[in-house]
Amino acid sequence: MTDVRTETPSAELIAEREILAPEPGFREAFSRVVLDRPSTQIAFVVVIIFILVAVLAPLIAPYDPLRQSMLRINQTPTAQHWLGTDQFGRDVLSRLIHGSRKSLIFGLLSPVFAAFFGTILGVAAGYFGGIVDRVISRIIDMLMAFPELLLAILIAAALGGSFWNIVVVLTVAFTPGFARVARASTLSVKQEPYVEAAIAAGVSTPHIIIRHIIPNISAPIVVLMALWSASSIRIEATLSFLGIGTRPPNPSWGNIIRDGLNSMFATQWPIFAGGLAITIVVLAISIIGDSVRDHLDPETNQ
Amino acid sequence: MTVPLLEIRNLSVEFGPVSRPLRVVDSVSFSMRAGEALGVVGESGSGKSMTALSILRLLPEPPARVSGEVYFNGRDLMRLPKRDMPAVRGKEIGMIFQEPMSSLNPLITIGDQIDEAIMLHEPMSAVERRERVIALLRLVGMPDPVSRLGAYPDQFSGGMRQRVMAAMAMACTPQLLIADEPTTALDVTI
Repeated sequence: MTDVRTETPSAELIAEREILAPEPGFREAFSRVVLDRPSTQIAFVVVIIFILVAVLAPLIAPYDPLRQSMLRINQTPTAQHWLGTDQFGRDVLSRLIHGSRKSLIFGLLSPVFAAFFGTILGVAAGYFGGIVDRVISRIIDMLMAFPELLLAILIAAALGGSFWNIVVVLTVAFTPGFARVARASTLSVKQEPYVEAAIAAGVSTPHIIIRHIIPNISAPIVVLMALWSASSIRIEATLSFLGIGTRPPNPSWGNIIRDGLNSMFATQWPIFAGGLAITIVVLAISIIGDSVRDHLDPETNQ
Repeated sequence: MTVPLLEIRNLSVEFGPVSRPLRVVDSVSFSMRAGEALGVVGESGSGKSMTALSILRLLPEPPARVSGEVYFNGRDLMRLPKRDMPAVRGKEIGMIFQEPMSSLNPLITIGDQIDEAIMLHEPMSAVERRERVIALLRLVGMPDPVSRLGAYPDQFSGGMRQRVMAAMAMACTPQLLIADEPTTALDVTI
């Protein structure tokens, strides 16, 4: 609180006229998180570029990602095909650009859904305790016993690999983690005097949960969302690689690599390009996630 | 005016196993008429806060076991259904807590926090409520209340936060105000 005071007024002045610190607005928080470190700046720019590429995919992709050509199979990079062509003569760059849509949508959508359901379950378990807590916690323990990827493969194999199925798969795989964090945070926020004060002021239970509990547990959940966006992109690529994610011939970073594997000895460019795209995005999102976490938890600074 | 505002008979609070109970409040009885002020004095751990909390039924049961009668305006609060308690809390009985530093939600502006109780208990428009909040802040001695409505708790000192707490407790003009050591942790100058 003291670091925002620019001048040092006398004690009487402080007592007489309350010091009003500038409101910590969104813009300041943003600049502190993003602009503090060069690595975060770069990561942020990278993510923005990839999002733009995904949004503008049909406009900037030089070729139709599905068009095959027997005359141009397995080419190395040329002026016409910057990243070469794959075993069916499809332009790798165009496939990569169109594939970024799938990967980023999965990467952003599933953690958001998982955060939504996980928070509801976790807050319910933490706030009400008792039998509610026991039932929810046991279900979550059960889901957590499976590694995320195994669970994802299980559900994808059972339901098939359509778009919404993959979203459901990843959401179910991620929900337990959010529920755990939300439950633990709720248990500590529930003890805060301001929650008791709100109850004493006659605020009803739903109101207390929405206004006093959820805003105060949102920080760790946001961090988890950032960190799991990266995992989500990775798992989607893995599922597509294994053939139970995005269905060929539609491009996704995972099945670009999968297709590239078949012609690995003719051209390495599809594998290389797909792998690099995944690496860059996952790294960038992880760096942003780390930075947000460091910002929200002062104890991890330095 | 024969009915007292608050009458407490044999109020007891117990914790621990039934066979070997730990009695933290032992058969407290007192009564108050409207307009009276009553001070409860005792060393720490003697059950002052427990008495205050059990009047509003804020103690979690279990583990606490509360017995006795609490008549407020002739109505026994102990026998009121649990879901009717929020209507009593804040509206008819206000409470100020011990810890001003942590009794305000850090993410909500003080204007909204005082407004919360009014919004729930009084059928008033947003403009009327704003007027009420400003009047309350002026009442507790907050300088320049209009510009403070949008300020967050961390922008205030402990004494100022306690004034906000007092404004919150009085927001719906309760008939009874319970102050649980409201000046703890405050310096003497305020």
